[in-house]
Amino acid sequence: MIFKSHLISMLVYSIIISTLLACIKYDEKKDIIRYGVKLLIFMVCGVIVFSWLMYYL
Amino acid sequence: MNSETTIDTKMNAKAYGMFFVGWFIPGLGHILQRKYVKGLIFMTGTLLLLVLGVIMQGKFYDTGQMHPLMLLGFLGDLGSGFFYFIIKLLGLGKGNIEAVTFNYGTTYMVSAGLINYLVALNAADIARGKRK
Repeated sequence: MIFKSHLISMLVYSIIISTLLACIKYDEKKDIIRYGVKLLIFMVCGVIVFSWLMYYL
Repeated sequence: MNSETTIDTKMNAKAYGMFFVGWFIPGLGHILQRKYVKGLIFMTGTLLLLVLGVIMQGKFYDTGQMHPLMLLGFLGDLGSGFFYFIIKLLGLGKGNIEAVTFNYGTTYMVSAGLINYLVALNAADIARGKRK
């Protein structure tokens, strides 16, 4: 069994998914990197924010 | 039938073919259209999600209960194409609900299938000339 840490599981998942989605949406390398990084930041920050919200509510 | 209609029909047939090939073996639809780098990225990404999902003891949804949500999950899993059947044949992907990583593993596995549907649609769009 790997990735017992939820944070690492989520990070790896986000990296793979954002890379694939960026490659699907754009063709230029620059656009792919920009969109991929943006998606990654949204996914990771979104998860952390919602996790804290759920913890406090 | 004029020549324009014939070209359209051929393009549509090619697009459907690329969708099927892209669905069956993730990334192959792109590789056949000389998009080698993208094809390899899609193939590696999908495989990585599936392998990590299996290692994390996630499960493929089954149709045994005929529950609508389970059916949707099954359709998502089916998106992995050839790899779905291989994993099923090898007896993997049954999951272990007691594992800490069970839910993550299941999510990894269904995401691989869902992403592969988008990849196959992208390959069809390239064949149709809608994308580069």
